[in-house]
Amino acid sequence: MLKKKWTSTAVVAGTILAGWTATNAPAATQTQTNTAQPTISAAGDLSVPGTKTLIIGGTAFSAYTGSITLSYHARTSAAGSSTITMRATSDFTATNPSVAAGDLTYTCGAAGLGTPCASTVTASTITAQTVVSIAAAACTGGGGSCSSASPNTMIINYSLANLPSAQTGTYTSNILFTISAS
Amino acid sequence: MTHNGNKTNRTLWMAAVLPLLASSAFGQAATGTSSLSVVVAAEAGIAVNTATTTLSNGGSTIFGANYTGTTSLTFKLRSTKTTGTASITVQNTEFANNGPKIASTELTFTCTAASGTACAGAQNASTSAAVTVVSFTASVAGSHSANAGDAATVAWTIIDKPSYETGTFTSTATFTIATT
Repeated sequence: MLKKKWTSTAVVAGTILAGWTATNAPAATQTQTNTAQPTISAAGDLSVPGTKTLIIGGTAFSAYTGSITLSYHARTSAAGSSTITMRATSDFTATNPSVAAGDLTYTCGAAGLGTPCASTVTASTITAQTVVSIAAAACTGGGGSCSSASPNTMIINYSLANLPSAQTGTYTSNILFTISAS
Repeated sequence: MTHNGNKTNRTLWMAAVLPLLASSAFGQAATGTSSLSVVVAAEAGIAVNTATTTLSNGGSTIFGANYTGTTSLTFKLRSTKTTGTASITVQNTEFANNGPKIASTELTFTCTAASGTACAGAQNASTSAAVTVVSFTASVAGSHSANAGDAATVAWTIIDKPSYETGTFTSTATFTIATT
């Protein structure tokens, strides 16, 4: 058991030992081999723009809209999966505009890897909603069975209701994106 | 031996740590936060629901039955907190030929509104100035209509005079909503 663990993790160690051997035995030729056997695990990361300002449309009381690009890397195991979720961790206001009141909706564009959310979704301050679902044995970049692009991207299109009863002012809501992979 | 022993120790340390890192990455979820910002400003919109308002005297052939008709409006507005005001106004074009004359105050109107302050009493329509139909004063929270919009009406009256020629006469009424 101990021997197996040594073999599987000694890639760098093998290089070090070979160098020491060469230095101390100049008259001999010695070849050593080592087995590189890394354990590649499921993993993911993502990035989103720090700030996005939603802009009103061309007619009175048209919705405030804006899009962000979600960039991500994901790798899933043969029996695993990955999801990217979003949830509003703070609200614009307690009344309106308000995520909790259902004023913020979004749609997902085509996902570079995985399946994007379908149709129009009402954002939530309570539930982490899945915006991308990635199946087993998927990975970002490299082509082949992986996607060709790296990172993968997906556009999220926001729409915020513009109601007359909203008081004038500048308001902000923080949206937390989370990627998990197995 | 000591040198060799150090290398061995380093090797063993890496052997112990690498699986730990892999395990840690496996179970972690990465996150990112994006702030959505919106600037809510004063805004207003109006719809004239009655494209053509026909003024009728009910078919009377006896003088004294004025021509009346009502134009329906729907408006939405939001004024700036504390300082903002708003108004709906109307301005008319003159009837042609020898019909009623707005310039002679022969067209008047009264107003109703679901919010704000509707004009008080009969107002003389004007071809030269915008006449206020509904007004909103400044308030701490700002003024606003219902989210679905508020209704307003303008009830027109043309005094029936023998001096008018028979025929159909048209005046275009332009409604304007403004807010600060």
